[in-house]
Amino acid sequence: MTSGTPPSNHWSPLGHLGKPTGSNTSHSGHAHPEALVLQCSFDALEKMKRTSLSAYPGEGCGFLLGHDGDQERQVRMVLTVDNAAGQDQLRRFEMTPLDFLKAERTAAQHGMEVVGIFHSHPDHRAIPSTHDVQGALPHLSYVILAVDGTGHSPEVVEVRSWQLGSQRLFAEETLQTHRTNTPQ
Amino acid sequence: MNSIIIPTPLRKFTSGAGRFESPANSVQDLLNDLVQSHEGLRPHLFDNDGDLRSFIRVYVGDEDIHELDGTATRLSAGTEVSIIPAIAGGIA
Repeated sequence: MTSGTPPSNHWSPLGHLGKPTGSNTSHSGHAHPEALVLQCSFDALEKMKRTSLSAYPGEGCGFLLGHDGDQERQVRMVLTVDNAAGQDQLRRFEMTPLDFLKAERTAAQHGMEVVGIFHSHPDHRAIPSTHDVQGALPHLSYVILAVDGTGHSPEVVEVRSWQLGSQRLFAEETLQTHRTNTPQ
Repeated sequence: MNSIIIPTPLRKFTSGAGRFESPANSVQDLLNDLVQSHEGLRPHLFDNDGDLRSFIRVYVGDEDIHELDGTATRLSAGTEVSIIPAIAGGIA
């Protein structure tokens, strides 16, 4: 799916979304031909989920550190960041230039690079919004987690990964999770 | 000669180079030289009106150009300028 004018990300019933199961699961969509496969450990995914749930009803966010390969990208570490959007964090997230510098330095210290970011969409689908497009950097993986808070307790119900191309259009990439433990 | 540091995600557009050098003596001229040399960077640094995108922050040394004269900030020889993104988005 290519998303210059993103499809509606308004909330949908859970049954329509389906739930990621975590292990060896491919959340594949309409992958762009140039899109990478994003390999993400179960532990890394769990950290993203925990951050998203604890931030609810606000948006949680952070950086994904790892390695770029020819055909796949690996997430080895998740660096959570305080949402700097202030009072707007119920519907926005922001990571400051200082956050970005710290993420790049941490990645370099571990022989990695910043390969992506993640953030949550409280009560909205895991589809890039217009604001996501406006504030996005190209070629990073954008993992979005949809959090449903309509039940007894918030729950992550959809996880998808996207990448902004050179023409500032988001394309979905294949997100695969595996059980290998990684440093967190 | 002045230089500008390119953040890692944007180095795809500079053939991997992390630094660009130019004799330009203002931030605006330095950015113009940069995008003229690496045209693929233009849509990621500037919006359709030609203004610097709001999430792209430019620092002269340690100072945000918003606290100086914006893109009109003058540069003395040997100044290092940095492009550092703030990443933002959200559901609405």
